[in-house]
Amino acid sequence: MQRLIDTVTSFYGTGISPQRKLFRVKGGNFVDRLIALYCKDANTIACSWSDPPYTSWSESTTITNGSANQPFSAFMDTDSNLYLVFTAQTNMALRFVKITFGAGEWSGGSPVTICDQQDNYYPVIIGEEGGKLWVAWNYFVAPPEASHYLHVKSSVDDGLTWGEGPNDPGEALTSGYPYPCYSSLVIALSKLFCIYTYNRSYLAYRCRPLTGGSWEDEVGIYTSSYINDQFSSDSSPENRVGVAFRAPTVGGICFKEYDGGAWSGLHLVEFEDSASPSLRYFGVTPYVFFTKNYGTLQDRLHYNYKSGDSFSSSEPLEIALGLFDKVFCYDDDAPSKYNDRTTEAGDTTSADVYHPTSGALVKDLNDTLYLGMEAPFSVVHAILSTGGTIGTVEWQYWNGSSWQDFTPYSGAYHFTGNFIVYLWEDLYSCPSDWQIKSVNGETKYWVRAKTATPFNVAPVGSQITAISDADYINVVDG
Amino acid sequence: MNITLDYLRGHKSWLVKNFRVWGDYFSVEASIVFTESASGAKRILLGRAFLGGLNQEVTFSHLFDYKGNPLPDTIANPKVIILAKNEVRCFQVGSENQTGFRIAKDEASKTGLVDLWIVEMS
Repeated sequence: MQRLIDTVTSFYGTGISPQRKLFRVKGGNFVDRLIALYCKDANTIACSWSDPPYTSWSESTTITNGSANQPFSAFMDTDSNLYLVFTAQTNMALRFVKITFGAGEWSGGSPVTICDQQDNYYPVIIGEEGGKLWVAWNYFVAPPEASHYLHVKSSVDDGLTWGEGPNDPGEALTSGYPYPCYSSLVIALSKLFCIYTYNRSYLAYRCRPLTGGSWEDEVGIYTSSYINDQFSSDSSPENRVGVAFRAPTVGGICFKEYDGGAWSGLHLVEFEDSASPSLRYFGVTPYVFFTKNYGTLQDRLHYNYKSGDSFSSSEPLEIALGLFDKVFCYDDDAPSKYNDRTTEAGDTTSADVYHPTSGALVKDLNDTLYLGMEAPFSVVHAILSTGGTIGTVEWQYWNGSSWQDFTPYSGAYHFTGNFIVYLWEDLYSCPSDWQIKSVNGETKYWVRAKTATPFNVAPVGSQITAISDADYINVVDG
Repeated sequence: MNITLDYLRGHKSWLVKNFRVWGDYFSVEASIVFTESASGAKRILLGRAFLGGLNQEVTFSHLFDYKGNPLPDTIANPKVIILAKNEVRCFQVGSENQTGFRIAKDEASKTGLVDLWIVEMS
């Protein structure tokens, strides 16, 4: 099931991999309520919540409209209160706000400045059991130094004051480098772990005992060129620390795990072009969620988990948002009216999705493109080598007795150029009367685009799938 | 005065007999929030999926009581009581909602058999 929560104009939406944006209420009258946090626009952080079965989401509520157009992060305590850290809009200060949960509602407090020195980006936050809060972030010292450091700071009064105040930049965990630092915070093995990447080359961690003391020396986890914000960490009930990361030198997503004594070897989670890893332990099993690329702006949600000593083959999260099970080009004037272009529609070869008689996807009156799946679907992603002109198509689905006209949720589309067509608002919103039908001997859920006005220049396809462009994954259990 | 009996009499209830349970307890339900870049705006979506096992979601509207009457589509504040009829341990996973609930067994190789007593609490 996929459900649209909101439409936004911010750059990052749900933010980068090390940060957290989705939380679940774990007890009380509102158990299992989910709350999602996201950048609504260039300056606004908002939230929306929903109760099981999560098909209806609240109107978005503004948490702050003083945020920069930068990713932020949050932490939920055992009372379901939320603690947010973000970059301030005007001066790039690091700010904090506590969102208190009571009687089923989250209500915001007044933002507090954590650090107003230099520029501050990519924060993460976590709370110890006793209530002590920790934040880690990228601290950028302006030119002429122009260096990025990883800094940490803490608060023992529920976020009212941090360290020695806003002038205090906190403690540096790394030296300064030309490229940004990204971090995540994990509690395990009675220690606070700060796992981070720096200078686009190194994945490492430092830790400190929860009982106090200083940060231990850095320990390297992996070295790769262009390693950056594409990593995610979590801890298991067995007190293991896991980290999933994209290592361009490997070409895919990898996983390593620390048991308190040593780090495991490198596990390959996904070899092929993949990104945006999000790691969560379900029980003792590490699951890695990520996007897998199928073509231009076609990034599909996949997952994999460790079974025994290794990860098996990844699986897509939704079967209905993938390659079409069947694609037919129908030419009403051709001796062989239906032409199977399923393989051609799924691959990235240019200009190969067309009917051989017309040389086009659709061209003349009643020419039709049929798109079929085993399950109802909500997206048609059209990559064209030639865009159509003048002509129009009618979009239709089979309602059990006839082909039902509809206008796609994203608006009319007549194969004029590359486009992601949202047939309906989301996967959950597929028509309830949409039924399977046999077309050219194939029984599927079909959507068809039937020519209503002939084309002057007829469209030719390169790739046509049901895959959208997913990114910035955040996962929560249950 | 029997307070418990009066309490129960004030609410509708249904008995569903010989219900087969095939859902796996060890399937994982993940909730995922992510961003889709559309043509123009961006979309914030929730994805939910059961991973690693068979998920058995029970919808009230698909059940019939022991007299053959269909249950309603929605039940206000439902409570489901599972009465075992074979040796396979079966249980509810998570909370009921007004349209149904999730049920599972803890033995992969066997199918559970239960009676379901479903009570509308308000």
